[in-house]
Amino acid sequence: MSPRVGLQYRRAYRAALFLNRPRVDALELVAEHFLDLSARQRDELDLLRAHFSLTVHALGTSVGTADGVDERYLDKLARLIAYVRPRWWSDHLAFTRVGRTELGAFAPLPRTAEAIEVVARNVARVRAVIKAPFALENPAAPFALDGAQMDPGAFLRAVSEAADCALVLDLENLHADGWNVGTDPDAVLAAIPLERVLEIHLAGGRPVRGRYLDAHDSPVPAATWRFYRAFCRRGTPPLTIVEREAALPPLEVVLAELDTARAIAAAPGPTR
Amino acid sequence: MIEYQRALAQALTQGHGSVPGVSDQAVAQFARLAQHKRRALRGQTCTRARPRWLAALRSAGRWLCSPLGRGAAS
Repeated sequence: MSPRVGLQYRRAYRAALFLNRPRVDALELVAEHFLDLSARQRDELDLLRAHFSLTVHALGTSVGTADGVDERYLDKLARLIAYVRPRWWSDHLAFTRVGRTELGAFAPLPRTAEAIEVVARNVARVRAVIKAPFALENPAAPFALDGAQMDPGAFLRAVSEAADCALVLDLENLHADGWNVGTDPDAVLAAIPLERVLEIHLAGGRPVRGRYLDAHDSPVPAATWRFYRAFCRRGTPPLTIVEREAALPPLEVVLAELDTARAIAAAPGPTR
Repeated sequence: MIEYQRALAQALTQGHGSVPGVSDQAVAQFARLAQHKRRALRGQTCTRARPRWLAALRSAGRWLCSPLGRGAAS
């Protein structure tokens, strides 16, 4: 399989993207940027859809919420995904809503059988409404919860199997987890079911007050590149997305990271 | 699990209350990290305006800017 690489779509990059189409295999759309499906947003989606392969990445499905998914949000998301017709779409293995309270961040789930049941139930509901293939991403863990019944890699595997969904593996989040909560990224890489990984995310963050912030505002750090090489030694990811969400550099800087990702994924195993 | 989720929501939105299985310090750090990330994403402070991307996340509900910090909730 030849490696495919792309980036998260930012409106500031639009013109430059069209000048560099051969270097971009896919764009990841943040669902929340298009949820209203306004006339302007439809025009923009039409343009992007005509020239790029697209995936949709949502932030607010909250598949970990114990009292179920928000049907109004799901309805909006379903309309967007029906319009875009992406190859697949994804959201995070976390909860962002409790009742009617929005947390404004990805809150971590306890790594328990109960949490797996909740996610599987919610994903089943989501998939009943949205037919496009669905993938769950590992979010950065802001703290470690007591009472974990399994390690992070086993939890990802168990969730993906119980929900029968694919995975988006964010290697920068693994890097952050190693820093903040002592996760062993190599152990996670070894544990996840390779065949379920549809997409790899690469990004860069920075230390803040002794913690690592997955701010997606910096170049991909060396540690994350190392995890990427480790993943690619096991197999070629179907798609790799570089996410740059803030402090946007010239597109060429991001494209250089895409080139690096492509070269790593395409290299013969031992040289990766 | 629902008790944990409700407690975390209360701690984040009201700035008080303990969360089962999580230290108060960890909850406070979580709130600060989330705030830093939102600031990085929007390049603005939460007290100036609700970040647009947060507002766009949901048409209903509240995304608080600084549940445990100094800034006022939006």
